[in-house]
This record gives sequence, C-alpha cells and structure tokens, in this order.
Amino acid sequence: MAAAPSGSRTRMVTLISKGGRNFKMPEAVALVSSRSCREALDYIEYRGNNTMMIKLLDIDPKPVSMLVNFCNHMAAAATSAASDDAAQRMREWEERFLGDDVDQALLYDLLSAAISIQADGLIDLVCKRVAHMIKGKTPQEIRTILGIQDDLTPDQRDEIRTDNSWIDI
Amino acid sequence: MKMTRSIWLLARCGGPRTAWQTPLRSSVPLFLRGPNSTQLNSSSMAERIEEGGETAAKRAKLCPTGAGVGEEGEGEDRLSALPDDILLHILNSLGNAEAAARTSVLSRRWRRLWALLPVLHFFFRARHDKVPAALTALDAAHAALDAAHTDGEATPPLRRLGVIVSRSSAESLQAWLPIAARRLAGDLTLIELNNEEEGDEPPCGGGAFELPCFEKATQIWLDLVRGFHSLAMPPSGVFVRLTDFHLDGAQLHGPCALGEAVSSPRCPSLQRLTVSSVGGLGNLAIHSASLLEIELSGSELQQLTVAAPALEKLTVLHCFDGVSEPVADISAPQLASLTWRDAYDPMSVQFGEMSNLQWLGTSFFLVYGHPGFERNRDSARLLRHFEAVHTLSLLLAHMWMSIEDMHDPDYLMEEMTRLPDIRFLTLILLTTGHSFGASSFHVFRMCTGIKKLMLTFKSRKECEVATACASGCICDQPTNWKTED
Repeated sequence: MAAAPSGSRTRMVTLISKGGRNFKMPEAVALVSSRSCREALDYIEYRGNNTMMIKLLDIDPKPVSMLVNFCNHMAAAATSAASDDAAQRMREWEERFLGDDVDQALLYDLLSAAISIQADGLIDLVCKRVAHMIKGKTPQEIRTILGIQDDLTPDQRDEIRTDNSWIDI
Repeated sequence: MKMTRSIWLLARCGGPRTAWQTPLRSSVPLFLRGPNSTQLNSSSMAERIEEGGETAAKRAKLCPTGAGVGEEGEGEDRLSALPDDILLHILNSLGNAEAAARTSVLSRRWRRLWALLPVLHFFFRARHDKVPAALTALDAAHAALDAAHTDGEATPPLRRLGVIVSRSSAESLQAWLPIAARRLAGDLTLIELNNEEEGDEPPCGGGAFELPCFEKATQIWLDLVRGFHSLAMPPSGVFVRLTDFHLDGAQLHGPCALGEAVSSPRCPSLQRLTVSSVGGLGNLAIHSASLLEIELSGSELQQLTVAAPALEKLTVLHCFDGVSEPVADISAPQLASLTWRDAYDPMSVQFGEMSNLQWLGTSFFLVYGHPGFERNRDSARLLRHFEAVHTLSLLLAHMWMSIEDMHDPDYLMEEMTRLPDIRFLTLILLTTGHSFGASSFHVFRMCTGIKKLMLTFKSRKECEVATACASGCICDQPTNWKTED
C-alpha cells in the first residue's frame, strides 16, 4: 500500500477526456468506486503526492464528468448510515442522474467510461437502465431500440425457435 | 519495481468479439453478489427475485422508446461490441431466464448469450410443463458453446438455478432434474406453489419421481407441495460437493432410504440437513462425519439414529407425535445446541455424551390442565436428564383451551421437579391473560444460579384481545409464592 502523504493535500485521481479536459476526484473516492484504481494503486510502491492520471481520450467530457459526479455521490452515500430513507433518496438521485436529458448515445458513453475504470456501481446502474428499456419488448422492437442488426439466416432463426419452444419468439 | 510518476491507462471500447472467445471475468461479477443468503424460504426468495426485475422499473423513470435515436433504428449498435460480462449484466437485470432467452433471436452475437448467465430464475406459475423445455434448451446451448471452444476453455457452468412453479407432474420433474444435475455447479432451489390459477388443469396427482444424483451442486432446496409427490432418493452416486440439503413436503419411497443417501460416503461434504413435513421416513439413520446441523420437523418418525461426531446443532420438532414410544439414539459428542420439542422417554431415547451442550430447548409446559399430561411429563423428564446447560429455553403455556371447557384444571407446575444448572434462562410465557406469577416463580426457585434472564410474552393468534381472566380463576392459586422470600 502507498505510504500516507507527507503534505496535507488530498491525493487526487484525474480522468482526462477527449479534448484534454481534466476531471478530478479524491483518491479515496476512486478507491471505493473503481476496481482499476484499486488494482493500480496496489502495484504502486512509491507515489508521494503524485496524482494518478487516467486517459479516457475516446470519451467526451460530459460522460466523464458525470462519471466523476457519480463516484463522488456514491462514496458520500456509502459513509452515511443505511436506512430506508437513505435508500429512497439514492433511488431518487439515480432517477435524476439518468433523467430525461440522458439520451441513448450519452448512456453508452457513460457505460464506456464506467467500463474503462471498472466503476461497478455505474456499470450496474446503466445495465439496469438498458434492461428496463428492452423489458417486455418484442425482438424486433429491441433491435430497433438497441440498433442491433439481424444477421441470422432464416435457417438459424428457425433453429432458435425450435430449440426454444418454451418461449414465444 | 518503481512505477513512473503517473500511470496512463488508455481505454478503448470497440472491436467485435465473438461470444465464446471472451471469457467471463474471473472475479465475481457484480450481479452475483446479490442475495446470496443460504437461508431461503419461499416467500422471501420470491420477493427478492421479483425485486430484481422490478428494481429497474422503480429506479429508472420510463425512458421513452428509442429516446434520442429516432423511430427507425438509426442508432448504431454500441452494445454488441461490448464484452460478454456487460451484456450478461444487462440480461441478468431483466430478472428472469425467460426474458433473457428471448434475446436469443436478436442476432448471432446474442444467440446463446443467455445460456452463459451464471444465475437463472424460472417462474412458471401455471406452466410447469415448460421447465423441461427450458432446461433442454439450456442444455443444447451449453453443448453448442462447449463444442465451439477450440482453445479448450470450458463454458462457465450454471451457478444458481431457481425454479418457481405451480404443482408439477412427476414426468415434468423427472424430465428436467437430470439436466440440472448435469449442468449445475452451485445451488438449486425448487419451490412448488400450491395455488392454482383459474383455467389450470391440475396435474393428476403428483406421481413418483427419483431425485437424480447432483455431483456438482453445493446446495439443494426442495420446497414441494405437502404430500403431493412421492420422492425417491437416488440409489447410487455421490453428492460430492453438497453442503446444504433441505427437503420439505415430499412423501419418501424406497428403495434408497433418506438416511443412507445423506450419510457420509454418499454426502461427504454435507453440513446442514433440514427435513420438514416429509412422510415415509420410518426409521431414519444418519451416519455423517461432516454434518454440523440437523433439523427434523413435522416428519413422522418411528426411530431416529444419529451418529455425527461433528454435529453442533440438533433440532427435533413433532416427529414422534404419532408413536406410542419415541425411539432414538443420538451420538453427537460435540453437540452445543439441542432443541427437542417432542416426546421423550429416557428409557428409549438415548442422548449419549453431550459435554459441550450450551443450549437446551424443550416442549412447552402446560401450567393448568389435567395431571399426567404427556407433554409435561416428557418435558419434565428431559429437564431432569441434563445436569448443567448454559442456556435453557422454556415455554410456559398457561391455558390449553378456554378455562370454561376444562373441568377442574389442576396446577401442574409441581410436575417440573428439577432443572439443569443454568446461567441464562429464556422464559417464554404464553399467558392468554392469566396470572403468571406462581408458575414463573416456581421456575425461578429451581435455578438460583442464573446470571441472565429473558422474559418474552407471547399471545396466541386466536386471542384477539389480551383480556385479564375472570376473578376466581384458578390461576389465582396457589398464592403462597407471594409470601416466600
């Protein structure tokens, strides 16, 4: 484990988005939220006051900023006492976080960002949202929503239907 | 090895990958860390499973279909390129296997993805006949996935299978249980519901079926409709990894006795065994070097033999109610907790050496009733048997039925003549409005060494109002306890 910082400054982790924008979060938050950070920090022998920097150059600033926002919020919620109230407030916050202004493209960008630093909490939230989007829909509706190309041959499709007589597809 | 000042992680998300070439992460996927409780009962499990699917709806506001994408799938497919475990996370969030399996027809990428889910829950309330077809489909998908693995890497096995069905036919169970036995490397939960929905054709009788041998399963929970099925244990095969076996509601038939199937050579890892409301046990003989906990309740026994050197907890409830003489031989030298709410006769029930006993729970003791009440006699005998125990749990039931129905009830506490030497007494009082001073004082007088006392007042469900009894009620006597020191 890295030694405690000698200075009084909190160590930060910086995520760098497309366009070179920097988004910081305290190292403690990153440790709680991101598996990659945890694993990386395990390997560091000497860090002093250095900032860990993570390049997410493929990803737009907005999703990266939202990712940092999510991690900060989750870390804060984790320290407060668990209660039905707290759980309810978390659910409401998550609904606002992935509100109407979050279109599918942004959703996927968010997922990419979360996957890249293995932020399990956000991966979970986005996956649940995608599941909700397709729940109860027909296969064609799902293809439309998710943009999936149907590359099955008619033979394959028949095979699938035969194999899966227990569901209507 | 010193690292450079900063660490650069380059993230890239893209590039198609074939389903079976991307192995699942070796670390436990997030969604497997869900309800992992081993203490499942049908209602709580059903709630938790339903919640898994419903949570997404409750959490997320209804996202308009294809929001921001437009009506004709103009959106690019950014999902299919993601690794398996992300897609599986989405499928798992759908909440049940049926919904996940519907994605098999989306595209080649998605075709057999659902079969990779480590956790599958099937809810077939009225359509028990679908379970065999579903498991057959799973089996076929796994076979295809295994065949496609050219690098020798195995398809990750099923880790949890949950099936909730209405009453099944024996044919149905006999058809899918062997598939589960082959594919499942974790826990199986089968819950059979008793409610019939309208328009259902009830299967004609439960029929007889044989449980296959599950060589890879770690836990098996069978919650069947009581008395509906006739179940046979497998006559051969070893349940190598089975640690927990819970059976509720079946009627057992031979040739293999339950005891033989769960004893050591055939269940070398078994730690917890629960048998409740099971018929046809007859003589149950369990010889197990691994068992830590045994619970037998409401299951008619003629004779019970337990030889379990590692056993820590034994609970026997209402198994010898129907016999004239309870016969048991319990050899469990490490036993720490014994709950025996059942008939007891020191001549025919041998407890063996139990020097580690910390907790003793007995049948209730009726305070007012007819002398010679068997349950009182047996409880008193059991209490006399043990010299010392750390914790005693005793329930005093003041009235068996309403006082008017009982002619001349006697005060029966004198039948309790001796208690073991106890440190902690848990006294549960079912007072039904009557005075409990005399009875509880009788108990206190016999255990002067106690350091801790817990009194719990319970009311019977039939008593809607906790009313005090009429004056002149027998519970006024005896009164002499009030004046003693």
